Amino acid sequence: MAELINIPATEDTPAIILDATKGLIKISGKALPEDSLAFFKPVYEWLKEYYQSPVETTELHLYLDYINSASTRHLFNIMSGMQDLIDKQKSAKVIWHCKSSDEMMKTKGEELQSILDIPFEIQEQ
Amino acid sequence: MNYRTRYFIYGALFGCCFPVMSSIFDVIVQDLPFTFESIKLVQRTQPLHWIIDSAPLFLGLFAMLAGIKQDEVMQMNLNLEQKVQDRTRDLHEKNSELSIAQKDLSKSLEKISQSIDYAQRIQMALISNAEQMKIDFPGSFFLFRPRDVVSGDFLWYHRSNGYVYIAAVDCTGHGVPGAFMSLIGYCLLNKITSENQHAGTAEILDTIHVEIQKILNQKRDSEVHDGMEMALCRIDTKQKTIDFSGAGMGLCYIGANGDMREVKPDFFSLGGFHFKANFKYSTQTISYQSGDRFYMFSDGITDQFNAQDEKFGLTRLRKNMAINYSKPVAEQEKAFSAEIDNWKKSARQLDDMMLAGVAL
Repeated sequence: MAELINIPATEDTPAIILDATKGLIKISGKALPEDSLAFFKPVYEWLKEYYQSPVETTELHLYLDYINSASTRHLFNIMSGMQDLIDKQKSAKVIWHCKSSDEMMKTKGEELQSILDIPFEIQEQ
Repeated sequence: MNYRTRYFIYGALFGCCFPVMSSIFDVIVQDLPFTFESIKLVQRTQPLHWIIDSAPLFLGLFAMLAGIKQDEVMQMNLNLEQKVQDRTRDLHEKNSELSIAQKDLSKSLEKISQSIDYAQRIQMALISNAEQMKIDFPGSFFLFRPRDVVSGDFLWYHRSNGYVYIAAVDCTGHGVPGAFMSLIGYCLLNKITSENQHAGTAEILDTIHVEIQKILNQKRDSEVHDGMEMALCRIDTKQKTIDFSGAGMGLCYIGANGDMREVKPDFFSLGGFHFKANFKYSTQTISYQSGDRFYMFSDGITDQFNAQDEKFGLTRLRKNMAINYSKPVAEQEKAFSAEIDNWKKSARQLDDMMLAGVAL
């Protein structure tokens, strides 16, 4: 079973918590790595292992202040992984947290919500 | 000579004074003549002298003990000095290593900077035909602010078959990878519009999307998902219409009377993988009148943070458009530039910025 991974935030990269026993994926902060693939690689590896034996309910919590377009594409991949879980009869949900003052992130969340066929909740703070 | 030997000799010499003095003293007390025979006599007859005679040995030994201590202290000092010397030498070595590394670094930096400056000239040459837009549509302008010299944002301008095409493009990444992507986008736009002179905007976006996937060998689970956002307009100056298709980038339209409206793009950007299979881009047609204008911009502007970690935001940009749209070109350009500078101040720029204003 995939273990617990805790990647601390840096100036350019968000904090990431991957908890296989709780079925929790949490990404928070600013995502503008120079090399986005190199940054998200450990997440992909964890997910690959996690999908072998996921728990009943997986929640993807996003607390993003900024995400560049290259990282957004990796986020799409992670979200389409949630779709794969649902196809496997597991439950999965995306919770998009954003500041109510941040119209850019709110709009981004709403756009994603409208095109994704998975449970997608927007929580404004 | 070490201290223990030296001290022993001093101690012993000092100790010799005692038997000599005591013998002389005894000779005087006993009133004997000052001869070696008298000294031998007092020494033989008085056992107290025998104890006094051992003074050189004992005093010598005591002094030697102090000498041993002194030797230890000296040895410790020597060791300390050696350590200090070693450390100083190490520091010097480290220092020179550092200054060599620093020289290497600044040499590398200089080379990289020169290489990127060179790349910038190529990029500027490529996009210089966007200058034609300012001539064909007087009152138009564009603002470029690459984050790292070369840019993933670019403006493309093309006339063909009575149509004018304008595209504002924001590629994934910035700097060198962004510039690589911008070349792909630039060449695809040229290729598609020259191969099909009647190409509609949605058709162009559909083609670019597929072509990027081909060029970068993008498959569902491949690692490279790069692509670009694009706002693409085809202006028919005779019919006074604009066909607009957007891939993740919209436009902001302001009528001559000041009415502002947002023309929303399709969500999906170009390249990589769309969630929806067989997704096709849509086209919106806008009828315009002379004096209308529209703006296209990359999210580098709206997403820019200030020192208080607040974003520039869409509302602020729209407000600036509403204030500035009727001003002469040079003033508009200056006003937008100043507003961005004023917002950003010392905060670092996170992404390339581009703003294009087209006066119809």
